[in-house]
Amino acid sequence: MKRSLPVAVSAIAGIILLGDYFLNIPVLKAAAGEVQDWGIILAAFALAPCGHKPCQAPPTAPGTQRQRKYPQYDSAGSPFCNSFFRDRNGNRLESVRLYFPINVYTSCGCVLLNDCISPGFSILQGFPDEKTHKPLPFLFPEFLLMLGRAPVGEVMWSGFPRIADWIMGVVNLAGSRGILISTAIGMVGVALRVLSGIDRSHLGSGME
Amino acid sequence: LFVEGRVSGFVALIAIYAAILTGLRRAKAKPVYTRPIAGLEAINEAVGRATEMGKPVFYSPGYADVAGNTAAPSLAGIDLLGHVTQIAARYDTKILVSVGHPNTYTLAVEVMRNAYLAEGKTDLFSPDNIRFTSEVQFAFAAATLGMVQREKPATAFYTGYFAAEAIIIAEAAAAVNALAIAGTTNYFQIPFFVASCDYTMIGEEFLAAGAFVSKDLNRIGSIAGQDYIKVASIILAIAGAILSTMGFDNLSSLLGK
Repeated sequence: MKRSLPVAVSAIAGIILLGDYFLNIPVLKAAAGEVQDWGIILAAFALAPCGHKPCQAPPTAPGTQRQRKYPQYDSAGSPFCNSFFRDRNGNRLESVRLYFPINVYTSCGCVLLNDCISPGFSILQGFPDEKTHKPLPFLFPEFLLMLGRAPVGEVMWSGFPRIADWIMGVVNLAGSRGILISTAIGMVGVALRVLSGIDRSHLGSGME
Repeated sequence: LFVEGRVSGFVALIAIYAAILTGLRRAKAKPVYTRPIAGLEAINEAVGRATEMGKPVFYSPGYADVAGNTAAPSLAGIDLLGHVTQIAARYDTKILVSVGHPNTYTLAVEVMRNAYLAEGKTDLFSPDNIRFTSEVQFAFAAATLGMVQREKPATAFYTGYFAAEAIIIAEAAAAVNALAIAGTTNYFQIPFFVASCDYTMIGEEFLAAGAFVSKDLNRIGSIAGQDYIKVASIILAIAGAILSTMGFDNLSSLLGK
């Protein structure tokens, strides 16, 4: 019963929200509003366990019991600050949430640039399949694509950009749509499994 | 009765549900073949590697919520977290988790507690190993990056919803020579994971991961049901392409209703 109750509640809430999305029934709209309001209230309680759980560094040496704590304003403070304060536009402390970590954004931007080069280099080296899942023949279109996108390719032969456009517009698009369609079906499947209680792993069932 | 433009969506939803129920029924009658997925097959090896090296396993289900658009990948990530934790508990291997959303954090704690309980090793469970970092994307990335750099895990799992931070945290694992297994539904990040991780679960493979590792007939049956819909989608796509080429837009206008 303890485990079934959340499933039942989420199933009812899910059916109401689905109904509101597809059907034009005023009662359902009002009910969906209520469900969402209560959902936010319940989610607010979920913030509490996180507020006192700042990022912790590991023990300084193996076997050391004492842990150094690095309280992070964003991890410890953000949920609570976000709930209590508002900025001059009436938004809930978006300034602290968004502008204080600007140094983090900047650093991460630099790291991002660096990190894009490293795997790009590895993949062009054509590592064995088990490393990249990428057989060598795939490197050929990659090479053509790069030539088509770089100015030097156009200088060498004007056909390279056209080939690159064709690869991106036909082959790549077909592949990407295949992934997107199957992902979309998978997402609906996950949602239905959760709503109907087939999949309850997030509640810890099947492990007790 | 219906909201304009959502009739076909409603019909598709009913069809998917019917297909899943059919798949469930058939799975109970006859075992369903499941194609091996390299990333899932490697989970035991990955945790075993950490055990042999005496290093921790690192796991992140991302910084997204378990509600809204990111619900499915986040829940799938949490699902796999339970499985990985159970194996880690079996081998007495420490597992560190970085979570970026309060709701996901709460679920992660419960799922891990249950996994330790299932292995009869509740004394090994430490909530301190599950760290809430930040809801802000790059603050989450920086915190996760730091955790990987400091703890130097032998294995890293990135299975959940990831955006631009994907390459940063995946490369952090590569920098400490960790075996990395990734999975996400975010199409734009899949190439980055493929380039920098040892194993990558692409799109739906990752959503089905929990069903495969659990060996639960009900869940595997529902995956089989999804395959029927995929076959139907392929037929519709081919039929739509042929009709559109011939100048008939009946199918696309029907699906647009």
